[in-house]
Amino acid sequence: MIALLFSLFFVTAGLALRGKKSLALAGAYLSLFLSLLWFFHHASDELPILL
Amino acid sequence: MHPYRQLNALGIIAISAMLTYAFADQFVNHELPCPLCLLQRLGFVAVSIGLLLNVTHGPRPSHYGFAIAASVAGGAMALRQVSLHVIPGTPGYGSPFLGLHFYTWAFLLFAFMIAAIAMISSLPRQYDDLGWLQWRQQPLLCKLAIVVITIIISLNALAAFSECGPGTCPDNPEQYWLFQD
Repeated sequence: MIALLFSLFFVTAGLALRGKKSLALAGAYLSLFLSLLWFFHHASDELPILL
Repeated sequence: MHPYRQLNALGIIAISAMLTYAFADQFVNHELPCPLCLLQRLGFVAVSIGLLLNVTHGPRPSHYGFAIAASVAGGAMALRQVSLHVIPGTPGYGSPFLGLHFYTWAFLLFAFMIAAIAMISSLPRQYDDLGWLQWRQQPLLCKLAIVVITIIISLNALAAFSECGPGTCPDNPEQYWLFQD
């Protein structure tokens, strides 16, 4: 999944380099949103040091 | 020629240098990054995308805004990992660098980037530099930044896939998914 997120940012960089600004910015926000969703998935793990 | 694009290119090169060091640590010291470590690398990549948009299309508040949003997200990821290891006697993850663990450095760097980008974005003259520049029109420093960050993102994608595969990364990875027995 994290490899997919890196790949999404790679595609976004490609869009920026090809002059597709709106698509690149939208892709960047989409990639960041999906990264945050994946972060919340990991951040909801229990804190073993507190248990 | 295009000084603010080159300033953004310098930022991309600095982020690339950081990610290269983390990458080298992974392979030289055989320390596999945890899921939160990989997410922090994603945060740095996201910030560099905001700066890359400034390099290719000229500085814009919307690009700086994305870079700041990515810095806040990356800082939250780093702070989460700091909170996992903050209690005295709790072992940290990985080897320290200059007395601090990578995730602590990551939090400090994300905080620094928020402040730096906020200050640089407030300089008004850069917004006169309009339009998309083709590859051959880009200054040398910008070309270098584009090449370096493209390589770094693709290598990180390959390394993350070899470590985690298509699914969830283990909390404490000990071997690469691609090369497991």
